[in-house]
Formats: sequence, structure tokens, C-alpha cells
Amino acid sequence: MKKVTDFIEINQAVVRIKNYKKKLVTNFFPNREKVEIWISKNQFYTIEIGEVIYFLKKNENFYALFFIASSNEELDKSLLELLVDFSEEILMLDIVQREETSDLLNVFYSKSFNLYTSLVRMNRLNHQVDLLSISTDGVKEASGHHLISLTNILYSFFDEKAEQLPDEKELGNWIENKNVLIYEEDNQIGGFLVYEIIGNTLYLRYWFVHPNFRDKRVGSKLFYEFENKGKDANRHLFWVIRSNENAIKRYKHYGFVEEKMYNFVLTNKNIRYEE
Amino acid sequence: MDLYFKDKEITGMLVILPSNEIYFEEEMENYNFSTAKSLKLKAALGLNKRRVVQEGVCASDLAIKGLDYLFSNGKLVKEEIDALLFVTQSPDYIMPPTSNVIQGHFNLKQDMICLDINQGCAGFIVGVNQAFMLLDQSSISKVVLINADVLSPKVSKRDRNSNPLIGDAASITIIEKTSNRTEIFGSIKMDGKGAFSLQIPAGGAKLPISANTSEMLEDVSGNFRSKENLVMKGDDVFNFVQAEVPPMIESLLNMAKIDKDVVDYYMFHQPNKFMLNKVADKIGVNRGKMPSNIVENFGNSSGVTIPIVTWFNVADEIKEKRLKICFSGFGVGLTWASLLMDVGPLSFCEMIEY
Amino acid sequence: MKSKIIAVLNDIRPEFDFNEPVDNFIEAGMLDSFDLVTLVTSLDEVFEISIDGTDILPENFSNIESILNLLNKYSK
Repeated sequence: MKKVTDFIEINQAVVRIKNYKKKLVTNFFPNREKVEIWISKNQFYTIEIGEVIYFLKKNENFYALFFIASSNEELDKSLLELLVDFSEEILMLDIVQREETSDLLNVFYSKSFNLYTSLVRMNRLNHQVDLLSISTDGVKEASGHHLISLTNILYSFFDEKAEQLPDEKELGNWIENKNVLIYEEDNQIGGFLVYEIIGNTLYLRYWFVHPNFRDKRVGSKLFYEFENKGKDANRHLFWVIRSNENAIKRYKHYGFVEEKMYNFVLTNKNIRYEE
Repeated sequence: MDLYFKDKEITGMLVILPSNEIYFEEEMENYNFSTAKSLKLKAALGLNKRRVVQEGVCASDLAIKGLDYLFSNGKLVKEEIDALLFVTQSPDYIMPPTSNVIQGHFNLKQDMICLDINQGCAGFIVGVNQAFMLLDQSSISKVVLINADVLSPKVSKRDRNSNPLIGDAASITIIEKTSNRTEIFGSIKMDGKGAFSLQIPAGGAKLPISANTSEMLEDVSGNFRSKENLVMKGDDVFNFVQAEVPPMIESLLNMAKIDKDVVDYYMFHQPNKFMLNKVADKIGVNRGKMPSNIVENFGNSSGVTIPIVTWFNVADEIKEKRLKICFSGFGVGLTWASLLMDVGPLSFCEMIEY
Repeated sequence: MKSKIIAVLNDIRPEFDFNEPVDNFIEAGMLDSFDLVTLVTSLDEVFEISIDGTDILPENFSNIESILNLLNKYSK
């Protein structure tokens, strides 16, 4: 297993796999900014086994696994060795696809990978919402000095294994780009919402209300402000954990629908997502 | 050798850790092992990350930062320091003693004792013992014990037996006379026949530094190190600890007439999780009472692991309550030393970063 | 018992076959000191014992017979 020292190694890996002139099977769609932060922190590694090149992002208690393979069959063969090497470690990987089942998923299941959890994407085409009548008192853009509290909340309340949480530096960048809304009362953060606008699409990345603030409509205030920010985008998107029925009901109430777009989170250990 | 002290206590503990953290994976390529083997090593010894200084930082730098913090926050008054002990195996100079350098830096009073003590894994205990002995003098009421080691520069990056385990750190412990009736039981043993079980061969008078001493040589297990690097006879040290430490603890408890279950915590030197778990099992105490979580979080910083394991696991508790603690350090010398005493409530037990 | 021991050994060093009779695993390069740590941890778990630290010596783990002898000591 070698440390990755340059983003270009990912491109080179793709070229090497394409040279086998079979297919290209992968779950890795790197976000350059994110990956470069990982590289700079010595958290990004690679290992080549057979006709598969794996990339691993080291987290505190597990590795996030990415693969680039020449075919499902080669992936199947190579996983055997990978699992022996990493028998003492927790591996987590994401597979995003439009179907509930697939040959690719079966490759992992056949190697004793378990489903940790799965997420579904929800969307809504933009429509005019009467925002003027809704008070968003207390909601404002986060600033630099909120970074540490926000990082702490993210890592305390979200499951790192189910959702790819941002690095402190990444979150810092989001704050600088004005992509983070918070609800603050008496110097305490009651809730926050992180979003991105890419082209015509408004993405909700993280949305959280602190248990102590749950009856104060903090969630809806943040959400309405988020909609306001994205009023020029024609599509709103986010991922939600499928077992979180309350959340899905809430979003449907706001006019969102479930797409046929799923994120399966797999792991090599016998662990499951817990609310 | 049995030791007995009265009416003295530890009143505060500060740990100073370098902020620079290195994960096991970052250095895997340096070892002569396959991925699988390296990860097995990581799992077997319970390794994850360690704290290591940036280049050029010395043990005294960590200590000075710590003292500075205590002085500026009113937790320690310069004029009250009657003795300054500096326990280390990585002094700033062969001459002068680093404790004098620190004394000069802070312009401490002249009517005091400064003493460097060359001790490693049992160094904290040896230092506390020394502090207790000094406090028997009527002119000495407060001893500042600094235990600091920056050994990472002395370990070969291609030595997978040692490199992934070593951490750098410093600690400052205040030890004073007290009007409370306290009883402290101690035990210390040494075996010079094992003196070379842990050593750095070159750099002293016996084998001065030369072009030869920096040459990297391979050992039977595939590790590369030079004569200027730390070398450990791992098996010998392991066997010595397993054979000698449990009986010492048993005899210490007997001497104090205390049952092993009455002790709240066994704060032992942290060589690695596996070794400590075996010692806990042999003594017959619940592994929860003998925390072994320091190497995986901060690395093995020699004697300093004892204050670190205390701060990391019971900082809040020890600031509120009085805890019965059995401390034990074992390693280079060979030395093995233990103390059974009540500690707390401490006026401070915290960590700052360098 | 013997088959459990062989299973544990094969798990630790899958590249070797511990079914084959060997005089000394350690001398043959099939087990090193770190493997002993993993071996003891696994044997402790599988047989629900705690092998004494002073018994963790290469001669007690040199082949299946010596491991069996050691384990018998703990099953009493």
C-alpha cells in the first residue's frame, strides 16, 4: 500500500486499467478539491491487486474504499486478496446506481460484504415558494469562528461510515464560500445546513438540528433560507438514508420525490448503521 | 528494594504533546513488510497514530512551554520551586545539565537543587521517588518533576519494531509536602545484566559519532538501523516484564496490606496494548483498571506515558476525587519500579500542545 | 483441538499450510515474533483462556505438538 502524492496518479490508474482493453468498472468519481486535501494530509493510499487499482482514504476507524477494475470478474478475484490484507481493518465503500440490484453489488455480497445502509436521492423541480411570509430569524451565514463547533457537531452526530463527512479544511472552504447556514442563539449553534449550487442544481449536503432545539422550528427556518439561496436553480437534490422514514416523509411534505437513484454503503465487517 | 514515604503528595500534572500527528499508514512503505503483514502488526500491537516533534525541537522546548503555561496561569509560582528534576534520555547537551538550562531560562532562585536523571521507561517513578526523598529535607517543600523525552530522532524509520511505537512528550508534575496524613509505598529493582537490552550504542564516550556509526545495517528480521539508533531486544524485554512486574506488584500490595481490587487504577508505563493486557491478566485485575490506550493514540514516550495514561483516562475524576493508584514503570536499565499511593483531588490535570 | 489450532495458524499466515508436519515453525520462517502476538491473542479468544505472558516463548509455539502441550496446561 503506497501513499498517493499527486492527484495525477488517479488519472494514471484509469489509463492502466483501460490498457487491459476490457471494461472499466469503478465507484470512484473524485472531487479534485476533496482528494487534494486528503493527499496533503497523507490520508490517501493506493494498492494494485491484479487488474484492479484500489484507492483508500484513511479515516480514524476505517478506510473508505474506491476501486477501478477492468471487469467484474477481475474485481471478484482481486477482492479475495484485498480482504486478506485488510482482515483486521474496517473497509467502507459506496456504490451508486439506478437499480436495486446489480452484478456489481453481487460481486461484493459474494465476498461477504454486508450492506451497512443505503441512501436514496430525492429531488424537486423548483417552484415558487412564498418566502416573504416565513420568518428565518436567527438564521445566518456561518463564519470562520464557527468552524470548530461545526466540525465537532458533524463528527458527533453524523455517522462517518454512512455519510462522507467533510474534512475540517473542506468545511472551512465551504464556510468561506458562504455555503453554510447556521441558526445561532446565545452563542450556541442550534442547527446548520450545508449546501452547494452546481450549475442549475441546488444540492443539500448536510442538515442538522441539535436535540436541544428541536421544538423551535429551527429546521424549517434553515430549510426556507436554503430554498431562498437556491431560488434560481431549477432542481433541488439531496441524499437521504432510506431507513429514515421521518425524514423522507418530511421532504415529501415539502414536495420532494424519491428518484430511482441509490447509494449502497457496503462494509467487510458485520456492522450496521444505527439511527 | 522497598520504599516508604509519608505526608507528601502529587498536587498537579501537566502533559505537553507535540501537535504533529503521524498515522501508522503514512510510514508503512518504510518497513520491509507486505501490506498484509504491516496491517497485522498494526492490529496485533494496537497501533494507530503517534505524536512526534517537528525537526529541531528538543525535550527542553516541550518542558519550557509547559512551565511557561503553568507560570502564566498562576498554577505554579517560580519562587516556590525548591527542586527541579529533569528525567530524560534525550538531554539538550552532554554538558551542562538541562535542568540548569531551564533554571537559567526562567531565572529561578539560586537556593534550589537542579538534577538531571538519566532514566527511561521507569523514569517517572524514579523521579517521583527522588522528589519524595528530597522533600524529607526541611528546606524543600515543593519539587517540580519534569519527565521529557524526544526519542523519535533516535529511532530508524526503517525499524518496524520500534518506529511505529515511539512518541515524543513531556510532563510536569508538582510534588509537595502535605499536612494530610498520607502513606506511600514503593518498590524498585534494577538488573544491570540486562543493561544492553535497550540501548543507543553510539553517541557517548564508549563509541563516539563517526562516519561508521551512521551506516544503516540490516538485522536478522529485516530492520535497518545504525549504531546511532535505538535498538531493543524485544523478546528479552517482553519476557522480563512478564516475569518481574506482576510479582513486584503483588509484593507491593502485600506490604501496604491493600487488596488488589481496592486499587482504583493501575497506571502503568505503556509499551504496547498486548503486553499490558497480559500483565493485567497475570496480576488478576480487570483490564479496565489498567488502561492500555496510549500507544494507539500518542505513541510510547518512555517514562512520560505514565502521566499521559493518567491524564487521558481520569483527568476529570482525579480533579474531583481521591483515587488509589498503583503506578509502575519498567524498561531500560533494566529497571522496574512501582508506587502505591492516593492521588487527588489535583489542582490541575491537563494537556497542552506544542 | 488440533484442527482449531491449524485453522488459527492458517488464518495468520495464509500463504503457508500448517497441516504439513514441520519441526519448528519459527525456524522455518513460517511464524515470527509479531505472528506470535497475533497467535496468542487468537488462541486466547478461541479457547477462552489467557496464556500467561511468561509462557510466550518461541519454544512453546514451535510446532503443533508444543502448542497442544501448552494449551493442555491451561485446560486443567
